[in-house]
Amino acid sequence: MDNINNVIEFRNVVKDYGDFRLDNISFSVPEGSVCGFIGQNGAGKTTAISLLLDLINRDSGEIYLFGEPVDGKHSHLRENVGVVFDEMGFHEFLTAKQINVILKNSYKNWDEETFFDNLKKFSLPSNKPCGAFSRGMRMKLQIAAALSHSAKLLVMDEPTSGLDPIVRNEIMQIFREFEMQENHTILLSSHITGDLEKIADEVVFIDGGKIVLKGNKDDILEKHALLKCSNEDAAKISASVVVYAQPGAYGTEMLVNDAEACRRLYPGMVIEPSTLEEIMIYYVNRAKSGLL
Amino acid sequence: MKGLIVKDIFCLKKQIVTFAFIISGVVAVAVMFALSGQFGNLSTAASELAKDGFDIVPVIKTAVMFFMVLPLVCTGNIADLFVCDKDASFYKVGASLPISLHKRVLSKFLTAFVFIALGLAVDVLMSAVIAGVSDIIVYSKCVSTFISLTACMMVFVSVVIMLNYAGVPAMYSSFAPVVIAAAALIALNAKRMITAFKNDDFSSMSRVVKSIIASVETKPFLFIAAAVCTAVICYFASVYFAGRKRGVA
Repeated sequence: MDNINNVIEFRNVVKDYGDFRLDNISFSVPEGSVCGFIGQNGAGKTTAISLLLDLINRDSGEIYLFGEPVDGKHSHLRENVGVVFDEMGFHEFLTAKQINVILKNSYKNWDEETFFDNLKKFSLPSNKPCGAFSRGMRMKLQIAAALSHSAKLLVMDEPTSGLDPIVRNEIMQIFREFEMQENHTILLSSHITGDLEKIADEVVFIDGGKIVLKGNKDDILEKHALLKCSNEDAAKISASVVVYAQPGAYGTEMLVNDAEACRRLYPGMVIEPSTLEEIMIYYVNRAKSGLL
Repeated sequence: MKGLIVKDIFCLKKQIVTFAFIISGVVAVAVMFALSGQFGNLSTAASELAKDGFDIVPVIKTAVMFFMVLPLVCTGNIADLFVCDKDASFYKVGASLPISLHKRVLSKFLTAFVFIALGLAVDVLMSAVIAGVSDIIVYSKCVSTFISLTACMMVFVSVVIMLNYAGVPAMYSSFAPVVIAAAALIALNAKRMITAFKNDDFSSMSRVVKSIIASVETKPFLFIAAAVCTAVICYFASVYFAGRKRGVA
């Protein structure tokens, strides 16, 4: 794919903290797509997002945002990026009105009217200090701000974690509306894979600082499947298609990475579609067992 | 950058209230002190003590100056901004704004200098009022003194900001410039001090103190020049430190 069509591009990026290493990661997010960045807590999602936003220095590799390098010299690129962090980041004594004044003087494209419309839409008070907001309200406030300066890219780090299903659903609906507009791209980091399954086009799965799986979400879901069989039959399955097998007292459940081949080769066995969550769990278990 | 300065001013809002409270108290006390020294009980006491050979006018003058300096000193608590940003994890939001690192650092310096300028303005105004109602202070000398002290405050906050960007905790960074200045003063006058203590003759020390006070009153441009140089050095050092850490507000 041509570089210009990739809104985000990581090329062999390394960040070493000593006790944790983001190890040579490469992936790209095409323009107009929703990319789900999945992985368990501590997998390296926040580190990668921090690198993308230039919050921390990388040790090696290259990162491109809208085709331009992220090297501390292109702060104007962030005009087009709306960011939502897992923590609010605004001082608790600030009201939405005051946040509007701060951001109005920070973004060239800040649209005050859109911001206050968003506040109304999300039922957020504009005169109340945001320290008094619930977690859901704090997230909505960040989203309201992120959507008020004509951003072309939304980068979100665990925006839905710790929220109840109703608020999560509301927030996912907001993301859908954003994504439906032309050339709008989303990078959404989460360990709640159910949310991503609903809206993601692309998936990047990171574990232990390494990219384990990346590609089109539908392709990934299509290729992977859960194969259930007896413990004796499990030995007959080709090791090349098995991601990880979990033997139990009544049989073995395994994740396979070529569902179609398995259906053809093992017609008598139960092969069920897998979810992103199951794929994530099996890959993590495989890594833990030292097979990866 | 304007957005970050606005944010810093919101952060200093609490301090501005404290500042206004101190100013009102200080203005009242300083004016009363000056009026009393000119026309009231202090004036009477001064003339009676003068008959016995004691001149307390310099003491009254020093007391008035002490009260007047307080508003300026209050403006130097810039480390609070860093504590405030750290508590809110604002560094992530700040660093994700389309504002370059240089401007982000510059905004901190500008906020601090605006706040100090506010202190200077209050002091100059107070000097005019007190000089207008009494002979205790001379307006021009007072203004020179405050400009010199403003320069000292600029040096202080510049070093504090630099230390914060270098990663020194806010609670230590506020004391460090004072400790450094005191250490430098002692080191520069160590020989004189040792001799003074050995011979029990502090006249040379007294001359040093008097020359410093004279410089404060008569050579504000020297202090301003030193402050500008320090601010520029501290700014570039801050940008360097912030660049190493990147994620700073």
